[in-house]
Formats: sequence, structure tokens, C-alpha cells
Amino acid sequence: MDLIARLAEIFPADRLLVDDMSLVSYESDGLTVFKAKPRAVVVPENADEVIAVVRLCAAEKVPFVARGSGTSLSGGALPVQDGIVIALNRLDKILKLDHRQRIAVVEPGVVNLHVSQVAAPHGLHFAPDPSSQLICTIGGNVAFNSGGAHCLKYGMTSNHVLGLKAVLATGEVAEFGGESRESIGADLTGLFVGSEGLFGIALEVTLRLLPKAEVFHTVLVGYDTLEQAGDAVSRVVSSGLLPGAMEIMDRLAIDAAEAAVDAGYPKDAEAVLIVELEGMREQIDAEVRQLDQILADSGAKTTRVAADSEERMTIWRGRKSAFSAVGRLSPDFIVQDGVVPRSRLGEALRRIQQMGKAANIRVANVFHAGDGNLHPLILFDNAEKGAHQRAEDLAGEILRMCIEMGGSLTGEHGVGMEKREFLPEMFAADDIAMMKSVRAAFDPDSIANPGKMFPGKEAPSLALHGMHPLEREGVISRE
Amino acid sequence: MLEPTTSEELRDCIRDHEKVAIQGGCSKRRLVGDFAGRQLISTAKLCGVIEYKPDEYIFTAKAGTKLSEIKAMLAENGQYLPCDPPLVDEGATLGGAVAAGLNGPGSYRFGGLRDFILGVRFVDGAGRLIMGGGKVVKNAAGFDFPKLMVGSLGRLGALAELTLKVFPEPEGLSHLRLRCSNLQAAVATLNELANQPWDLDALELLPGTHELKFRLRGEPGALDDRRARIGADIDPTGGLFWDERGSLLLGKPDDYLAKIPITPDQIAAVADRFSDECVVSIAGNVAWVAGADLGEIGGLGIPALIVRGRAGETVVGPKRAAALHTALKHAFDPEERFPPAVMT
Repeated sequence: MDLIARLAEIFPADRLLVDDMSLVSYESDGLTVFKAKPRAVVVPENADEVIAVVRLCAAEKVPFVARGSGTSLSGGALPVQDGIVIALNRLDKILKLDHRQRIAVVEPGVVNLHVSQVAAPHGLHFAPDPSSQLICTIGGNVAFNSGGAHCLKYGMTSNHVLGLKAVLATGEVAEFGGESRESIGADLTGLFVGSEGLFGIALEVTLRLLPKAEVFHTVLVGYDTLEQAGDAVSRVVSSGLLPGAMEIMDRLAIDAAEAAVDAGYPKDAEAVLIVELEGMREQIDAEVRQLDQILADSGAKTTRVAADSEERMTIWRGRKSAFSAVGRLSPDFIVQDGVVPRSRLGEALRRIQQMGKAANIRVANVFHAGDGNLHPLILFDNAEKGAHQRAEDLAGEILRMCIEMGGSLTGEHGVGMEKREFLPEMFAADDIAMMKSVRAAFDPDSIANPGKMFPGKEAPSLALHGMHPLEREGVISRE
Repeated sequence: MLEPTTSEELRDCIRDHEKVAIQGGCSKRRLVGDFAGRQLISTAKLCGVIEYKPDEYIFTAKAGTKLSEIKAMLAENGQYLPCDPPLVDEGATLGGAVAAGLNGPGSYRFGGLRDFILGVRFVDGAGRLIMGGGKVVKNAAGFDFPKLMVGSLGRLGALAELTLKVFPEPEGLSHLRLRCSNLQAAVATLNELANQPWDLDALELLPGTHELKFRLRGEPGALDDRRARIGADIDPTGGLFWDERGSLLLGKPDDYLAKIPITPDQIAAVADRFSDECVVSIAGNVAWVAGADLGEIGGLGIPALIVRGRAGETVVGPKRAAALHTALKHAFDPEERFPPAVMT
């Protein structure tokens, strides 16, 4: 019996997609430069169907790619040629919300923001908040250990996953962790989160919820130079304050964001810094006095403090729209995600500017200043001969710079397809060999999202450029 | 006993012997497992801070470095490790702390060891030095070996170097307490407190006296107003209490000491059997119990890690076995140089 016939034994026709028209919408994810057509897409409605199809793939050695909303910026959900896609959006139930004990158990297709929405009436929220949270799913967050703007203080997805149940590529259903924040033995939950779909598929995820902060103090500061903005961040760090978020945008990004959402950012600032404090009222009152002094001493050109939660949202809207906004400045662009030691941010930005000038390519910069996570946006026009290659070359140079500075080739987007060739620049041969052995323990036949994370031979085809369709519509934006 | 001084020497010691066991400060020696017939390798001389960057919120140190030395170094720069692993005064090492995975009361505020570990360098069972993670606070490259190593009890690899994140230490500290009429009220109050945006630094429950003990940190000037709003009292015996938590003082010297991961709903069941020799820590996420009878601890029906006491099983209570566990142990330790893995 052929594969499609076997799949038809598990899925009814309306949830087994094989025609070209249906398959097209699954060919790419947020890394729109690549596309690949799978043999079929299946849409399970429950965990049993997921287990059945994974077991079928294990028996027939058919590669599979699990997919949430396809917002991965590193090609994590890019289909594998000759493989199938397992679309998990219908596993979207919140199985349990225990607000008393601050736990939620959810299926992988649950949208990230939805968790915070159901927790909100109890004064709780799910801390990891990537900019795509309106549509990205918990399953995807687990696969890529997604971040957000509040990582320095509260960590990433992995720090908020207490346990999970998964079907491994071998077909075995395994449970890791549980409902407690504490555990015994090697942390298998921690190993699974961020494994980029190479181990199996999470079926149930147990999440930790936190109380929402009592008050926020959000400041938008304009500077004459990027240097000064970076310097201000250093001063905040040395002062002993631990803000919830610190973000910087450069002139190109500011202009684009203003054109798009009109958040009232300072018109002639070369850089803006957003600093957000959060906590108990009395504590924040004291911290604000300290922050005011630091910002006053930092040479700030303009300072705007959010007077209420609406203004706070406005300030954030500017930052969160930056990527899509910059994307409109140019027919095509590459979003990067490197990390450098925080104190070398200024140096890293100078070098990026120099590299961009040398390559005659515009680069806008948006970044999580608190943890050194850069997001250079490399703008180009694919219609221009050789432009895409020059942009890719520049992207590679920037990544190498991050590694050379002792940082990381990815802060939150993951390696995926996009950066797999750079993995050996960050890790030695033995380290990568160990990662492959560990992968083989979960997936001896390499059928779970093969071709991702590890350097590979086959290259996927290049496709359309520019923004993800949902980005163009303003439904999602990039972190 | 072998005492390597560098990661490479540690690797060579392991390569040279068929069966090994690693020990650090011996403050949690029972967790090493059965070392009969094994070459003991000590990290006593594998110590020293390799790098400390206060501006980057990170430090890297060799596994045998004493936590007391690290604490002092951080304090000089107004920084600390919020997860406050126990047995610092008893000679705990950084590597031992991570391998044991025991989190202190301060883990309530910002997380435990798993939330502060950034990178590891370890010797695997094939005698290779392996790096996992990195040296920056934000990193999504490669599999998360640093997290996997937390709580792995030296069964998957011998930790050689570790990189951890640190935070600025708030200036002010208050010891607080709340007395409740009975255990049920104490548990209810614990949940209420944990659901409020009070940013408590630690939150413990004593089933024997149905008391809640907690800490507040932050601006010294703001502490009393915060305390008043929370409705708690200053705890004059706080200093002694938190010291005892740090030394895991519980029960009689010969008792077994167990770490039992729970949720607040399970407090009553644990208290039922162990009321006086029990401290519930990290807002009801772990129960520490002391008892003379391993069977009684196992009889709770919840997996428990036996941290101290006479020889015997490392984990009692229900166990989860998976083919994956065997495969993973094999990936890290194909020739079974290290003691059997503990995966629950």
C-alpha cells in the first residue's frame, strides 16, 4: 500500500491534503526565502492521530515536519522534500487551567497569547511573549525555545515549561517533568525544549503561570547617537536595577516604525531606548527615582514616560512593528538574530555599519539591549543582480562576528535551515557528534525534521522574498 | 583517589578507568551512588574562577570551585545567585550543586539552577570533552545540554566547567512570617500569596506549626510598606530559620533526608505522615522530609530523591521507565563508566 493510502486509513479526505493548491500554503514558513513541497499535509484533531501518523512514519521511514502556525524565522517548519507535514493547529485545547496552583496544561496548537488571555482574569499570565504571539503556537514555542522582550528577567519558553508528554520519532510516547517546578534526575524537559522538532512532537505541555506585575514604568528615550543609547543601557546594568525589558532601535528602524504606526517616537533621534520597570508599587517608586537619575546623566535628548497602560501599549507598538515596518522600506530583507556580549553592543553595531557600507547594503537595527540579542535587518532588492547573494554574504559575516565576539549565532530564532551551516563555527566536532548521538536516541532514523540544525548536503529551493503574507497584513510581526 | 587539576586531566582520569565515580565537596555524597568497585575521582583541585564579567551578568568556573568562594566574589560586585543552592558552609561545589540539582528557597523568585545555567563543559563516558550552551545570557544554538545536566547526579558526564547567569543583589532584605490557624488555612494562604504580585523572595511552609515563612528583597525604604500591604509580621527568628534551610537541617543525624517535588495540593498528604520533620519549600513545589524509614518515604507514592542517610536506593517511590532513558544513557555513556542514570 502506498503512503497516501496508509495515511487515508488514519485521516479522512478533508484532513489529508495532497493536491497542489492545498500544499502551496505549507511550502514555506517565516523564512520565506526557502520553499519545499511535501508529499502530503495531515491535520490531526487529537493526540491519538498524531501518535498514529508518527508511528506510521517510523515504520515506513517517512520524514515528517510538525508545524504550528509556520511563523518560524529560521525555516524550522519548512517541509522536507518527500516527507509529510503534520499540522497541529487543531490540537488547540487548553486541557487544564489551575489558577490556584498557577499551572496550565495545553495542546501544542494553542496560540501563545491565548494562554495569557485565559489566565488574565486570575491576575496571571504566561511570560514568554514573542512578537508573533497573536498567532504562534505553544508547540512552536517549545520547539524553538522562543523568547520575547522580557528574557533577561524572566527567561525564555524553557524556563516556563514544567513538563510535557511527547510522541518521539521512534513512536514511543514519553512523559517528562510534571506539574511541580522541582524535579528529580536529569532534566529531560529542558533537553526537549529547543530541540527544533528533531526529537518528536509534544502532545501536551504543562506551563508555569506568573502573577502579572502590579505596575509598569515604561520610558521611551531619544538619543543623538546609538553609542549613547548603548551606554545608557550599561549604566542601568551597573546600577543594580533589573528592568523587565530594554530595547533599542536605530534611525532607520524608527523612521520605518513611525511611518507605519505613528507611535510618536522622537523625530530626529538617531536611536531610541525603551526601558521598562515592573513590580510592586512601592518598589517601582524607588526604582524610578534611580532610573530618572541614570537617564538624566546619560545625555538623553528626549524622555517620555507612559502615563497609563494605553500609552505603554503605544510605545510598545512602535517597537513590535519595527520589523514589518522596515520590511516595507525594501522589496526584500533578511532578519538576523545574533547575540554578542552586552557590553560589546556598541562595537558590534559599529562593525555592522562598516560592513553594510562596504557591501553597499542598508542595515536597520532593532535589538534586545538588555541581553545583547541583535536583530539586524538587511535590506536588498532581489531584482538587482547579485543583491541577494551580497545580502546573504553580509548576513554570514555578521553571524561570524557574533561567534568571534563570544556570543551566539542565535538568541531566539533557532538554527533551523537558515543557520545550519554555521553550527560548526560555534561548536567543535565532538560537540556536534554528541548532539547527533542524542538526536539518534530520540530519532534513530532521522525522520523528525531532518535537514534542520545540523549542516546538510541538500539545499532547499529559493522562493519568494520579502514578508510573510501574515506580516504584510499586520497580523504578525517579528521579534 | 585521583585529583585532576584541569579539564584535560579530568578527561584523562576518566579515559584511564573502566568504572568511575566523581565526588565534589562531599556535602551530598550519598547522591554519588554506589562507588564500590569504581575509581573515585575528586574535583577538590579542579577549582578556580575562569572568568567573571559582572557587566555581562555571567561567570565561568571549574566544577570543584566552592560555592562559598563564588558567593563572596559575587557579593563584592553587588551580585548573587538567586537560586541559593544549599550546603554552602558545608563545602558544596559548583559542579556538585548542578549535578545534585537542589534548589534553595530563593529559587521561588527567579527560578532554580536550571534557570541560571548557561553553559557546561563536561567529560562524557567515551572520555571526550564536550561543550554545550554558551557564555551569554541568551542563546538558542544547539541542544540544551546545560539544562539536562542539572540534577543528572554525575551519571551522564563529569562536569568540568560551568557558566552561570547572576543577578544584581537587592540592598534590602526582610524576614517575614504569618501564623495560620491550621494546615488548610496555611496552604490556602500560601496559594493566595503566590498569586499576588508581591515579588516575594522566598515562600516556605512549616506543616508542623502551620506557619508561613518568607522573605522580601528590594529597596530598603520600600520594604516596610510592602510588608504592611502584604499583611505579614517581621520574623525575629528568620535569620536562624534561613540558615537552617541552607544547611538542610531537618530530623535526626541518622535520618534519611528526602527531596520530594510536589504541588501545593499534595502538601496535606505529605504533612499527614511527616508533619514535624517536614519543610515545604518554594511555594509548595518541594517538600523536604526526614524519616528513619525509607519505606515510609517511598510509601507516599511520589518520587523522592534520598539526599542523606544510610546506603540504599537513590530514588524511592514510583518510577517512570522509557526506552528513551536507556538510549540517552547510552548516547552519553556508551561503556557505562559512570553509575546508572537517574531519569524520572
